[in-house]
Amino acid sequence: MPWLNGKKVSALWSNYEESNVWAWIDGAWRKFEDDEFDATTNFAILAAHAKETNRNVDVLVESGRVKEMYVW
Amino acid sequence: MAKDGKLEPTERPEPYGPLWETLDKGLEDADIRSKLSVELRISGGMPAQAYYFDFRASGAGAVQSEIRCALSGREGQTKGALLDQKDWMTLLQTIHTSGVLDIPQEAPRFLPDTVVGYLEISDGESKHRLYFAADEEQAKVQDKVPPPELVKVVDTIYRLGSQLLDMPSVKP
Repeated sequence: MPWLNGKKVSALWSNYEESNVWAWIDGAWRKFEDDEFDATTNFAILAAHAKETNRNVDVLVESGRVKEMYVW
Repeated sequence: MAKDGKLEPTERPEPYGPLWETLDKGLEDADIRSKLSVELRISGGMPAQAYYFDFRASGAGAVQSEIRCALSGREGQTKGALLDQKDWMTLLQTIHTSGVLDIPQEAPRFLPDTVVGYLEISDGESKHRLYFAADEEQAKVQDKVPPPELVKVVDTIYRLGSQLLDMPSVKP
């Protein structure tokens, strides 16, 4: 799946497990890449900011994981 | 580090309809209304005549506006303003009745130094963004006079911006 551009973050979800954060973007739950602890946290911070301020995001989704994110 | 087999979210966020439908319901339902947001941003012009106007309002109650106009010297910014719910309803009703959501979205194509604006209406899931030439003279010269549906909404926002910034007019 290529870039999803100009989308909103409608919901966020996480639980007690390591690096397990998801965002509802463009009609589906998208899991943030969890190869690195801090990357998952960074994505969560950006997504929470985008949701709170209702800004658009561009996300690169590969292999079912969000790999990159812009918040505009 | 990454592990397979982690739990996944099972609930879905409240479904949103198409933007017009959300707006339609939002006029009757405060919860739905709170999800809507409207943004108008205008900027451009030659350096000596540079103009910038920004207005953002959300149904959650936040509103902010800012103006910088090199030609007229107007300058101002709201601080901690709250959106009057009556004004918010007026704006949403204007959007609803104007037909602005029926105007097709197109990529912006304007000459350099044009004062360009965009109006964005969103329900948090879908958005409708329209670009337009905000300066009347430039719009005429470029044969890009904004449609009356759009002008109606933009004029309503100018009025709200004037109130918020305590200025007689915020128009370019």
